[in-house]
Amino acid sequence: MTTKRIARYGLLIALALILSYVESLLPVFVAVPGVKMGLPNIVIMFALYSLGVKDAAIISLIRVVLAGALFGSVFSMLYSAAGAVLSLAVMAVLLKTKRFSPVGVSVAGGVAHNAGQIIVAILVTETAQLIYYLPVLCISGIAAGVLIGVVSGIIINRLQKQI
Amino acid sequence: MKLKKADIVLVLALLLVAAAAGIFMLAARDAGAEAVVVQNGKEILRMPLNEDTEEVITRGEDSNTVVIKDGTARVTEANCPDKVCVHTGEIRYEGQTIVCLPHKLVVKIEGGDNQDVDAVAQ
Ligand SMILES: [Zn+2]
Repeated sequence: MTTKRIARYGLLIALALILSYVESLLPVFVAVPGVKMGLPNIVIMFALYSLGVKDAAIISLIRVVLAGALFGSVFSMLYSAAGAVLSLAVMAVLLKTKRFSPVGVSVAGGVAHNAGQIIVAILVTETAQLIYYLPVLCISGIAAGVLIGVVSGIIINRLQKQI
Repeated sequence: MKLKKADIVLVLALLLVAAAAGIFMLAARDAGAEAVVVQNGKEILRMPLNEDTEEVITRGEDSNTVVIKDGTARVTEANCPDKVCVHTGEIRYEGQTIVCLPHKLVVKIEGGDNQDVDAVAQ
């Protein structure tokens, strides 16, 4: 691992952590378990486009563990890990097809993130009825995904050559 | 940055799925008969919706207050960090849930018409 790569990791993880912290301060505006804006996904999107899937996965994993330890609990870590893994997998596949802009990639990631969290919630609480939240989770995932996608798209365009 | 055709197709498809699922759920819903409180996968208690009551569910430090009023169930107070359960508000239809993830607690509405039939059969 080169020094440049370590510095890059450190920078992006720090950024993702700050965004996780900001998100943990935002009031819960949707009374549905598992719904989040996904601000750290801006960093993951950037890593995905400029560094590749492997680096994005490493940054995402470290982010989930550190954010859980700092601003959450073991359980919140579990939920966000499920969301992060599913969302990154879906985003990586869509990116590879080369048919989607960052907005499409991030929308799919947002919806997959919420789906991953509700699946863990169903398993943990052993309540299949939570599947009723799916429409709300889908809509909120789209809304958050568009927002994150637009912001990430701008950042990716401006910074790609500089990092 | 430009949107691609696939982006629009994806968003429309997801919206369609969400809307269809939402409409189906609204159309299929029945008023429930009781609120079932489940914690950590185990049923704690059943509260009939036609009786105004209040129960404080505690487990260790965790506490949630479940109130039944006018045929609806809601969590009025909780000491969880996110308060999602309190913000959910009232539920009254079969299949609706209030979830407190930090406390691994679920309040779900059960028993519409089907259970009435069972009661008569008994
Ligand atoms: Zn709660």
